Amino acid sequence: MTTKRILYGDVGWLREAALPNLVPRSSRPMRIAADADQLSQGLGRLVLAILEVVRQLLERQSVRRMESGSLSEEEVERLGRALQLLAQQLRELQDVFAVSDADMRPVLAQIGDLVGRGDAATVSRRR
Amino acid sequence: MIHLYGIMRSGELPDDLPRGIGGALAEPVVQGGLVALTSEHDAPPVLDVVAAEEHEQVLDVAMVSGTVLPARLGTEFESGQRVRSLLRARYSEFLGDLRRLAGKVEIVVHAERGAPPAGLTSLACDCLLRAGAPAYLVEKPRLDEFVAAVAQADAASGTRLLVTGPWPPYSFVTDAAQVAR
Repeated sequence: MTTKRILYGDVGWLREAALPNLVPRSSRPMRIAADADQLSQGLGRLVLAILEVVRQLLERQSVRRMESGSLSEEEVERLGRALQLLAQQLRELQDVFAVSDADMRPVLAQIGDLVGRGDAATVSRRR
Repeated sequence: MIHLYGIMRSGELPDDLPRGIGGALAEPVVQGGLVALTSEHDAPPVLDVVAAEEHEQVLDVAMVSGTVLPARLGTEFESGQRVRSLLRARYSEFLGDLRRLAGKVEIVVHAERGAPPAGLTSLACDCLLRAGAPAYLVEKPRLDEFVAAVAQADAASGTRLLVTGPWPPYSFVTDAAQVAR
């Protein structure tokens, strides 16, 4: 969440609370139905969305480091490969949980409130 | 593929529209007295955290120059013509919402435990109570007063409160005006 959106209070404690569902955003609310299959899919969606956010942050940070020129060519290549692998593994997890990109969108958008946007221009899109 | 950000009166359109999702230029689609803020994309845009922020940025600018009915992220149309049809078909609903929401913004109060103080509703025009974080529709001139009331309640209650906003009135556009895909 960009700090300009906080009119009062400290966001610190929110990190421990359930992160999505907190801020109204452009995303539709995520609903978790009390049906066993749907529930596990709902949780999968949430977990995957959080992993995806972490992945995006890692990627952003990595790109920044690559661009800063502080890494050797070999290190850049290793980092690139690791990022690719991470993206690939997330993809596989998505299949396991039967969670599509479309399922994750609303959750991702909501989590986005709690993550500073930073230099968005350096964020490379996975899909 | 047209992405819709929101709908406002054409007379309130900002002079300069910012770039929207994926850096695409936000463009007005005018129909009668209404204007839809849109951007054109070759393929459906990836709707991630960054896109949500970019969507919000366009609405931020629109909120300064007038009242805007926010569309949910992922509201997409095949063509500008489809957007015009929507504006034509729901013209009076959109105008009604714009009238009702003029000069008002959405404020959300999060409480660490329990619910935010009940007294806040008296400072708001409308309130959507929901678990964890109720949304309040607040007149812009009363914003400071509202935040001050939260601060006072926060000090008194001992539970931590967090106020976010001002948001475009996502929770207060009527169902009819909530532009579906």
